[in-house]
Amino acid sequence: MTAALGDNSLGFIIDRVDVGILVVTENLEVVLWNRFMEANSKVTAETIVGTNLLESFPDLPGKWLEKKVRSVQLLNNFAFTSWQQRPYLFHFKHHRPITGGVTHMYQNCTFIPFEGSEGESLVCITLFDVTDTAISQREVQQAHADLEELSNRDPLTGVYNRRFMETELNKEFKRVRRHGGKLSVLFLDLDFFKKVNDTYGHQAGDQVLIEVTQRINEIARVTDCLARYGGEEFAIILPETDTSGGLIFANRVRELIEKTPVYYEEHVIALTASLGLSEYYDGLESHDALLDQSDKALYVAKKQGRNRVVCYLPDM
Amino acid sequence: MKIEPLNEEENEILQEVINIGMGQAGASLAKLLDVFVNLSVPRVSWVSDVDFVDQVEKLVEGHGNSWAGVRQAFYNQLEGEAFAIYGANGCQQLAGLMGYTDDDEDDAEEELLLDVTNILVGACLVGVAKQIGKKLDFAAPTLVGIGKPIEDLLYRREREWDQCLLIEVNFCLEEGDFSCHLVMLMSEASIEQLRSGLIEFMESY
Amino acid sequence: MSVALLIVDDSGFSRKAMLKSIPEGWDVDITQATNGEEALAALRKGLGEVVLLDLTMPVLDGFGVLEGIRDEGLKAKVVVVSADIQPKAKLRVISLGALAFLQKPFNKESLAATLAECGVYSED
Repeated sequence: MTAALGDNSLGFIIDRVDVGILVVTENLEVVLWNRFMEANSKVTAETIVGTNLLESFPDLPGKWLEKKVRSVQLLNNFAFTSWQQRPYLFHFKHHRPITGGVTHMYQNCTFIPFEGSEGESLVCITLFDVTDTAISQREVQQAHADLEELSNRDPLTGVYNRRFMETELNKEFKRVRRHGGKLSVLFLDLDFFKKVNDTYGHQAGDQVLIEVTQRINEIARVTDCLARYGGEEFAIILPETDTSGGLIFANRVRELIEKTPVYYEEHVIALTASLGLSEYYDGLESHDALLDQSDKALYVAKKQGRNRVVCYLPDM
Repeated sequence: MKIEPLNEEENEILQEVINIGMGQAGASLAKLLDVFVNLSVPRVSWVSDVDFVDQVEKLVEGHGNSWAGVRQAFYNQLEGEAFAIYGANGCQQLAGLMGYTDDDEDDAEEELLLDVTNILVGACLVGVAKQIGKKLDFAAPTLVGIGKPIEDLLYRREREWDQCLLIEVNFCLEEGDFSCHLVMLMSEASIEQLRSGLIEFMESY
Repeated sequence: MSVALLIVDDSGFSRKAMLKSIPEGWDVDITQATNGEEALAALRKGLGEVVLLDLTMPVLDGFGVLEGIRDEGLKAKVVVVSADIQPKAKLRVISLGALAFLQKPFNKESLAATLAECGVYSED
């Protein structure tokens, strides 16, 4: 480095630059402590220089730090730490406004070995405040996750959408085909839904859909996947479930819908649903075939008079 | 401007210079872990951005799809990127040798990969730079992925270069599974500096 | 009577450097080998009383050559010339019978000094 500045100026810059700078011996005795460190730790240079770093900061990862300093001196090269693996070295407050959403300053550090004027082994540690980067990164990751969730959901009811359901069913189908186990698919269609819309209006119709899905969710298991398949049609993936288990669940759903009308403004909207159930068996070509079966069973339920559960049979 | 790749003589000198750099990196790793480190013969080639991933896959020639990768950029008179590619089990062995216990969280494994990469890349490239009289600085290493296929670790994306120098060296511990392939890409921009440095080195040897 | 000198290194550049650095006036008959197998073959023919041996080579490395010399009872005075400077490497080559370890990069002076130390060459 060439500088046309004298030692005093260089010293000033090191002290006041917007980066934490401290220098320690191989035993972690502090030799330099700049203003950034003072301001953020409330420990003055006067107090700390000449003493052991760990005495003033007992919460520092002492063993790790000693190893780090020794290895950097032994191998005579720079070392780095990143907030992504180690959020901070010194537990300082951050300077983001209250809206920050974080509890501390995130730091990147560099360890630089060098020789002092008497040939002693020293390590300079620099501390960069990267809280802003860390926050942005987290926000991007959260936005990503939110976006993904959004693309899997039906906007009206909040249940999964058809695309997501088919992907999940395919995964489950392959798993059962490979490892064995049970799997059933239930189709549900609200009876005379068009009449509800015509009689009470589309907003009422929307409310009906929302409430029906809520009711189903209350009695479904966490592992069941409820999705909106069409306008008033829903599909439910029932993992680890055979026909008899599926029938029990399907009948509970049918009864619940029949017995709990939807209240919209001053109206009481009575409802029923038709349901078609089918179970996976070895020999089914694909998850589409399974969906097809449930759909056929649903069709028969409608034809036989609605407000009932029908199980798929091979002759349908 | 089209850069001339290194000629045969320059390539030979470069291999020897890397050999020296590698020896220093191996010694650093050996000192750190107190084990014997096997060094490979460095391989140098000139690749285009289209076939560089395939070329690296051939050089690493391991089995399976589960590798860990760390990237570290370097700059100043020589510039480029280094990728350290580790086999899956090696990380665990390394952790044991460095004294990390099971109690340490996953972040400890990540930090370990970054530290070892930093040591190998630093020692190797500083060794090279010193021989050829060039200045070199490093960015902090970053984790590219764990448990991924090699192709994912080298991420295909728009690159600023058409051609670059590809250097590969391999460190493995005599006992156990640990191996690290160090792949260094030097951009066209630094080839002229490299060339002048190699000539200087040859004349002083 | 000239000394049979065997230079073993996979790098052409390195072999040239060794040739350039051999002390002037040393009466030697030089053979070159590019890997460990070629080196052992040459040794069996008696072409290496003194050997300058690299460690990192393809096919058979320097350690393999030293083991071969020991196992086959070949007579050779070996100076290892290598960039593999880890302390265990130095110990290992000495325990396998090498007389000295010369670190790369080397120059005329360090080569001459090492050769003299081993009693393989003297300036008079």
